[in-house]
Amino acid sequence: MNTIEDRLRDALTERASHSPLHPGAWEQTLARTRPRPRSGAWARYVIPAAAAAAVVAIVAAATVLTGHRGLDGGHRGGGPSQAGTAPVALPAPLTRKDYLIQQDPPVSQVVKVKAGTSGQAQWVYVWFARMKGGQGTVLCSEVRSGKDLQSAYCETADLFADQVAVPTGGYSTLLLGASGKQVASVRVQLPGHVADGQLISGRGFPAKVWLASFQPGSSGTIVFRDANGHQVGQLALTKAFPSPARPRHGGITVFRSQLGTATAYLIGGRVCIWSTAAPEGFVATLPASAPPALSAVLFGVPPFGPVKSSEFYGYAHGNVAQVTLRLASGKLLTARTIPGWPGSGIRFWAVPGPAGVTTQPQFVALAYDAAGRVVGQVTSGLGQRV
Amino acid sequence: MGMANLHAGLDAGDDTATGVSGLFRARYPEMVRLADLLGADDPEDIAQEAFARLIRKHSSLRDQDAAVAYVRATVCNLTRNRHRHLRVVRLRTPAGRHEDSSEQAVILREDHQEVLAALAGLPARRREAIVLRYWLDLSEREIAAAMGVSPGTVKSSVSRGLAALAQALREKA
Repeated sequence: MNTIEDRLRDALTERASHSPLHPGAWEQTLARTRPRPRSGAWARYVIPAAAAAAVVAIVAAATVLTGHRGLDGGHRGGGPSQAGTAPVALPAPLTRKDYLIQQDPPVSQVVKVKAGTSGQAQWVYVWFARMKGGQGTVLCSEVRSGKDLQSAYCETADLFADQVAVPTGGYSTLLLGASGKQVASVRVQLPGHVADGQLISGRGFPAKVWLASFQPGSSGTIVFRDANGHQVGQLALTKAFPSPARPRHGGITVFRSQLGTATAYLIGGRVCIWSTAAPEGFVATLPASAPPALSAVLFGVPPFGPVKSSEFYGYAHGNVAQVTLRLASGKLLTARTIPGWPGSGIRFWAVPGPAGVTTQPQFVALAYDAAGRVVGQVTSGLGQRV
Repeated sequence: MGMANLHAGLDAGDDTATGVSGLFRARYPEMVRLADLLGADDPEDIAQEAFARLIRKHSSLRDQDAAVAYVRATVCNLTRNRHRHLRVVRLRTPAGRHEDSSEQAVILREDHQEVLAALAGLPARRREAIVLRYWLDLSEREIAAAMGVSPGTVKSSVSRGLAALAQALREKA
């Protein structure tokens, strides 16, 4: 007969083995120690919801270049993930008050370049930052036109072994991303028009940053060449909002809320999501066969009337088990992913957002695999602070 | 659980967080389990808050052992405070809407359930003393530091707690 002490030890040991352990616990703990930013610092970031959606759409519209892009067992090449430089001082106008800088500490110089095809020039700030909770880097960018901030985004910038380039951000008239060492030039090829893109280097940059400007709504190709002039990769540039008809059957329910029921369909090899609350759906031009670690971070609000609820939702690579969003206020939203179509390598996620918001809020979204590793990140510096 | 990766989410140049990250990696699961065994309704919340307070206080702690003792004592304090809060909430909440402890949702062996149910029925101080003694195998001095009481109080709490457990289990049998 066991003694009471033995029985206690056995029972406590078994009970302890069931305790919950969140994969993002360290991130959540650090979030508790950060001072909250002063109010008013974010007012210049507030933009109409349509503009925020355009940013998301153009990022999602970017597709992967030549080579296999898989996270499962994928070997990471010597691209941006090798970053290890110390933080450096930041030039104006980026200051430590800026949301992206606060969320993702820079590991490189911030480089300012001029972009734009015609009319008013755009100024683009690019830098690399450390991915929180993960081993890689994010490429951050801000796009400004005059005094208007048009885009502020960080996204996972790791290149896989056979990848030439990866898009990480942009706006309706430009795309940018990280490129492999073999890339020596970038060109934008549109019907009846060819223009040079830019390759940007800076102190502490683990990879070159490519940037391509084009007219809004352009369809064409961004071509990457090596030092010998040989094409090593290309990126299909598609219009942001193609609109296939909504199927009646075969969808996967992503969430149900006051915003209606959101259902995902696989149309033409691309993920499309519609909500019953709005006639317009989300259509990713990123092929479903090569899903990103975390993409299509969307924010749903009813198109008209009072906003009583909100929902973050999207899709992710098949190895993503959980998505955690941290809002500017420090509030954490966590969603377990649900499986997509069998064999698709895609999973969906959704989590209710805060009430009373009218535009896409600022957020950091982290994708975790089943072992608790951060495998992807998207940071959006635009939008409402909630 | 990929604890080995948790340290990677540091703020650049944040020495305090860097110093705590190793301890967090090594001890976070233990602190969550301690809060859980003490009956916290959200043990991860308790453990994370304890480590957050450690980050804020880290520079004033002399060594790693002191940091562990600090986090352990904070977990005990926060769990105790949480119990007090929940008791107040329950006084104001209609029957049937109580906030459940996470332990109620776990399926355990029947004999273990009996032991844990009897443990949950003990006064908070005795429960703390017993968990720290029989799960963490701490010395009386370490338990006293975690609970903020004298070693003598620990000795009597463990003794009386064991007696009460034995009595409860005999009555159940």
